Amino acid sequence: MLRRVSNVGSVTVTSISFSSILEIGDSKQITPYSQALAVKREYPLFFSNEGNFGEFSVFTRPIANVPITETLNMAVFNENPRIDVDHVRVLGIASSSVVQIGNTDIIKAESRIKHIRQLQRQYEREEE
Amino acid sequence: MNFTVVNKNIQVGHIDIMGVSSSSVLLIGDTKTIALSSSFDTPPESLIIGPFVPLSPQG
Repeated sequence: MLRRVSNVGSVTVTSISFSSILEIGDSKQITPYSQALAVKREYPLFFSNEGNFGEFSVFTRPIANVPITETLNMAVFNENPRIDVDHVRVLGIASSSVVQIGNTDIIKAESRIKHIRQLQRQYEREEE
Repeated sequence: MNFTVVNKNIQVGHIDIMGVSSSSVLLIGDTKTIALSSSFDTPPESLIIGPFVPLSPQG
């Protein structure tokens, strides 16, 4: 398949984190994967060895797969083989996300997040 | 199914995005396949009100 050329004047990205990718140029396959335990505590005490992904089903639950059974004949005609963009500004790229300027064959990304909040009881708050 | 795509002129001024997150894609270009999945779990049980108990350590 004939691919187009992406022509971007300038790119500004402030932050890339947690298994994310900024790709300038072509690629064959991009497959980022990330797991996160997002813990918020009213009393801000954290230990470095805390957290076990195996305890939470969200990290092991299979992801629904919808197979495509129909045969697809796709024809692409690139009358203008360029994509022009003056400027791109992205503040943050996070958790298995992809920003690419260029062509690729496959992007397959997966992100799993368990969010936990721990609050104090009223009297514990007053003791401080 | 027969699917025909004709790509004509595309010229964009500015793209301004705050965030691309939880397996999302911003692509300036062409691709064949994109498969994105994201699970975010925050059930009522994950709101814990009580004395401080650290999470069990890595197994």
